[in-house]
Amino acid sequence: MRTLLILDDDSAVRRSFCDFFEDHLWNPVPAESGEEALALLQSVRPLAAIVDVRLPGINGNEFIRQASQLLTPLKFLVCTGSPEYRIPDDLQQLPNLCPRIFNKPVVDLRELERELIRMLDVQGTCSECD
Amino acid sequence: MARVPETITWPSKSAMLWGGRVHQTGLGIWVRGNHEVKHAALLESTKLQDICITIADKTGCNVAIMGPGGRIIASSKPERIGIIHPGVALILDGQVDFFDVTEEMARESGVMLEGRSLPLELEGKRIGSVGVAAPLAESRRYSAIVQTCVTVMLESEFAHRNAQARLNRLIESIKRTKTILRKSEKRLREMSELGRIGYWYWDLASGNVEWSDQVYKLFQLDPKQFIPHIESIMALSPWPEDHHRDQELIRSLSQSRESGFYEQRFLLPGGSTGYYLSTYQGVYDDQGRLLAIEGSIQDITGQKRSRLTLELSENRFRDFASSAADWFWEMGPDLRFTFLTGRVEEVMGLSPEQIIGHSRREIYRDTQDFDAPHWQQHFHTLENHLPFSNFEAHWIRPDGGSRFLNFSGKPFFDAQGNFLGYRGVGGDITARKQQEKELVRLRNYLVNIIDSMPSILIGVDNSEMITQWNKEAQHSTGIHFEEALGKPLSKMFPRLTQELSRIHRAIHTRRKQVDRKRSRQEGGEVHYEDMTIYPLISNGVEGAVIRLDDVTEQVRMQEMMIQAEKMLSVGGLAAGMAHEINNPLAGMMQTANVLKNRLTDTRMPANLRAAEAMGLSMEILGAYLQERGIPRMLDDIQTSGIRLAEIVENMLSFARKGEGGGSLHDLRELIDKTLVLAATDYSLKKQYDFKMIKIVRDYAEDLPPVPCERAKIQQVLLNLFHNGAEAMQSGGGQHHQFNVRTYLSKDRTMACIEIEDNGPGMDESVRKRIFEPFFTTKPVGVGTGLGLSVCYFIITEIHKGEITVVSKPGKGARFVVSLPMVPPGRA
Repeated sequence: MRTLLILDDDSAVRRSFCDFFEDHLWNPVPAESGEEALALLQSVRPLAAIVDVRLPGINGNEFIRQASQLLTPLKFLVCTGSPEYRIPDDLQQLPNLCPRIFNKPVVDLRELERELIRMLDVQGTCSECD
Repeated sequence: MARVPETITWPSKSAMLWGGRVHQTGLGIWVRGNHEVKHAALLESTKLQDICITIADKTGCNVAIMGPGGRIIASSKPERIGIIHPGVALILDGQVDFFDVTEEMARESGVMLEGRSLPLELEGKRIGSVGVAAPLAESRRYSAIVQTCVTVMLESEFAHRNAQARLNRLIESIKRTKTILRKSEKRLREMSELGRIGYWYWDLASGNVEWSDQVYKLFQLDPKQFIPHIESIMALSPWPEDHHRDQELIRSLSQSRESGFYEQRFLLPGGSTGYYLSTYQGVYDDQGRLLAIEGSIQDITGQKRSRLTLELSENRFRDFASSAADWFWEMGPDLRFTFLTGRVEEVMGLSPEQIIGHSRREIYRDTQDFDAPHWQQHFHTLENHLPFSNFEAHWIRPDGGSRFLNFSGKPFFDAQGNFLGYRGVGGDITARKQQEKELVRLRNYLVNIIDSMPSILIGVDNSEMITQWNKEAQHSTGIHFEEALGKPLSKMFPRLTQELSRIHRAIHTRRKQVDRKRSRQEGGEVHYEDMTIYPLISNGVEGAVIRLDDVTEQVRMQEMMIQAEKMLSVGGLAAGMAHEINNPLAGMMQTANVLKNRLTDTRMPANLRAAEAMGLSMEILGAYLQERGIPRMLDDIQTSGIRLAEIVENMLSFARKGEGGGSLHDLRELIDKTLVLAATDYSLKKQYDFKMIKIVRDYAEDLPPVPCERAKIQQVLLNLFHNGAEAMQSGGGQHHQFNVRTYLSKDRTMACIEIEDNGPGMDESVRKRIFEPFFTTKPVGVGTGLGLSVCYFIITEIHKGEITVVSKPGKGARFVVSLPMVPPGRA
């Protein structure tokens, strides 16, 4: 099962993601905050994380920053309700961060899934190369 | 050799003796008469007779004085007068110095026993001889004494005569002066009558003054009451400055024996002031001490007054003349200058001597075009001896200075009507000319300013008649200034008829009246204008100036600015709201998405597993859901969610200001791609079929790529196509068509995209508001009311371009988007 971390403080959104990816044979692991998500990473090994930006506690950017320090080769995809969001400069260089940002509401969740798979495939290929 | 006349006659019967008394210095005789007393006509026979008798009495001799030819003219024996003394001629001829009478001659004479005749000389000239008859011894003893006595007495007498003659000459000179005076003051001739001269004698020791009767008359005083004394006379003069005159007179005559004259004034008993001319001379003793002053006095009050009057009127005339003209000139019959006065040299730079003797034609030859009509006219006037006035000529001075001159002249003629010449005045009118020129220049300048104003300016007087009307007023009404001048404002400019009371108020309160943004209909459009009424309060000219400024563009601009401000605040609000809306929206929409998947996806393993566990057939479930319209409902949730997301997205567009000029894009390609997008977009929404709309393209060949933000322009175009299609759809009918044109603006600074539909169009009220945010004509729930305001914002704020719409009900709508060829920020 492909484990996927869902980090979003909005429960309806979080649940809709979980439900969707569950239906599509993923193993979604929900987290309400960055801190919780970082704690989860001690026990679970997701392939990727869908990250909301505005969060209580540390924000999505900070989560990505800290999570990418871990040994786990985790992929990040930002999905935010803030239309003005831009990836911070220090994060733009991260190979594990998807440059495409999804805005909430995600009208076509399948497109989000396709983007995830694409990202994982590329990374997989690359990791195979390594 | 002077000769003693045979008889001596007094010059005139009107001769008059006054004060005839012998002083120690001699006999004072004042003679006044028509006949002149010649210097050589000397002694009175009675006086000589007197001398003879006086000496005879003292000496006991007979004494005779013989004149020319030896005739006895005076004798102590009067019976002998007239007898010729034969020897005397010898003395008078200078042949002998004395003539002794022989005894025979004495016997013959019957009188003289013995006698001698001796020459008589006056001032070194022999004038006669004196004869002494007595016993010979007596006569010889006395004859030299007698001769000396007679000579001394004659000399004394003669000195008086000379004094008298001098006096006469003085009187003559006074008379001449008076005559000259009389000539210049003809009207006063009768004033100086002969008889009105008085004589006076002032004894300095006593201060007593003797007056002739005439003096009393002159002073209007009664001889019986007034005793003339220097004090009483001075009392007649209330002017202290005149009181020094007596002392001055004494001082002057003590220093020199010159006689003179002076003017005096006295207050007459009647209260009027009399003016007098006095002549004077000193009376001296043997040692030359001044004893008395004597003289004549005459009344010159009339002359004085008329001279004062004359002076006044002459001064007046001179003042008038000098203020009327700078100089006077006179020409002779040959039209050559004969006389010039005044400032001619100062003005023309030519002295009168340079001008006199020349004609005006000669003087002006080098500086004038005599063929000019005004000169031709002038010469014609001169040759015909006609008067002229204010003839103007431009004069170049010898030093190069420029002057404008003005002449007026009048011909004058003698009694027979013969032309004698011209007299006239000349003046320097350079300053006036310059002022006139300056005035014209100033007026033109002001008219130019007034005419170049973009405002309508109308001047009216206080009865609303037009006094000023500038180009813009002409342009606005099609009425020329000349036509409007003096006409009522309400006729020439009807739309101000309702403002007459306001104009009145402005004039009466002297305060300007302002009315801003007055709206009016013109050609179906609303125009705005600012009206200002300025009262005219200078120089007592009552009236007002009305200024009208068309501010339609400004008002529209202001409205647009307000809209832009509104949009920006919408944008600011949206940025804050977007996150808060998007999260619950995501919850709704994504949940609906999952919901739909779980209900309708018959291939999803989780669905199948769950259904099987429940013993539920997916087919039946699907049929049930279909029956109950659940998929449609889910789609509706999805669609509404998308719309809500779009609203938020659109509102956010306002907040995103231009992020730079963007890159160069070919507008034709951009439009074509947008049209493809529009077709798919619409087919998706199923509102209408975009493919059914005919697209007519008219793209300019020479349109270069335009700097813009591609996505944003596409958003605008998409919106316009979307709206146009919707409008055509709602209007019904067939043959829907877009005419799409691109072209370069006339000044080649803007690239223009025109999108014209043949839909129902819109009325003015809609057209005006169409770019306002949240303004929509679509049914509730169909339009967001943001589309066109976003377009407006993108074009005007982000690209600094323009978007306009032209439309009328039933005539479709034409949107024009203009983008600057030079990117904003670099212009």
